[in-house]
Amino acid sequence: MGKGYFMSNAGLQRVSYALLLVVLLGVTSGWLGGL
Amino acid sequence: MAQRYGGKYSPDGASEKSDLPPRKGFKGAKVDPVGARSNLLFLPPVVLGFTSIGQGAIGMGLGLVGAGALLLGAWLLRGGLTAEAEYDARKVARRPAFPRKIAAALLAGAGVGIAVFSKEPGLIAPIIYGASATVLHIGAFGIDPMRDKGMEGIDTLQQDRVSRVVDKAEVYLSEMRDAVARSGDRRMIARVEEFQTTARELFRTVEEDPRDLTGARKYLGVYLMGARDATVKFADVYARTGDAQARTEYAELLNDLEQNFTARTRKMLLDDRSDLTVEIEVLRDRLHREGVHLDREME
Repeated sequence: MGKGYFMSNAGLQRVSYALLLVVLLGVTSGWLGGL
Repeated sequence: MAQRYGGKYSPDGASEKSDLPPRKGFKGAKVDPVGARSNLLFLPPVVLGFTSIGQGAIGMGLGLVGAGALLLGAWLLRGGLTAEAEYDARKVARRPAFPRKIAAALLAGAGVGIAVFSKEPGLIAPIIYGASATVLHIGAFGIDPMRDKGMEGIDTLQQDRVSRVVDKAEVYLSEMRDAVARSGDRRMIARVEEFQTTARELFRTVEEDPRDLTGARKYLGVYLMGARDATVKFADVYARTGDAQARTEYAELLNDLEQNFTARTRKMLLDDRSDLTVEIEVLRDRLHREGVHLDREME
């Protein structure tokens, strides 16, 4: 992890991936989707 | 697939010594670029398919279209990750003709948008969810390599010819692997894998300098085809009879082939060196004639 950065590249990828899964599964299962 | 255990002290353990230094099995090994992360993306379309079935005809139709988009995106992502790993493995590579990972991100967004639309008809919610899915997808998996790498001074036409020949050679190698797996002899399977590593070294050398193709064409074509045919025959004979003589002869053939391939690779690398020497000599001569001398400047 580089100094002075909020998050490393790999960390950013991991967080994006976790959020992506939440969005995908949430939308497809009907849990998300409201305005 | 289950493999019979066998080692140095097993009944049919190693006996004959090859004169080549043993290679470590790890050499040339690579991690499958398609990991669990991308495979898990096949789950959402399945969920969407099932949840949309009870939503009436329109809801189900839209849901299935969205599931199709997500599925296609997940599949493209696999291809994109493989292509990126191939790109990274080479010193000379062209960018992919079709940006699969970007297309996968767009399809994920489209699939999410359609899924939201089937439940909440409108425009704002689908666009927001779809866009965030696309952005998150790019954040998680990145985009395709968009630039050619190490292509300076390389004739693309020549390189296309090389890549066609190398593709065909790779097919021979994979057929060899399939065939030898049928023989069920672990040591021969490992031996063929070693040979493949040697052959791939030759492939990479040719890819890096397409002018080597004329010299290496025989090796990538006729010899590999012969090796594949011999492997098929060996596998048939050995699987049926377990003939030790056949195995010894086949192992000798592989030794010969490997030595020849190694020698060829070394020769091509030497040729590259002599090219370099010529370039240096020419430039030196010219500088000399122009009267550029370092020691004169020092005065």
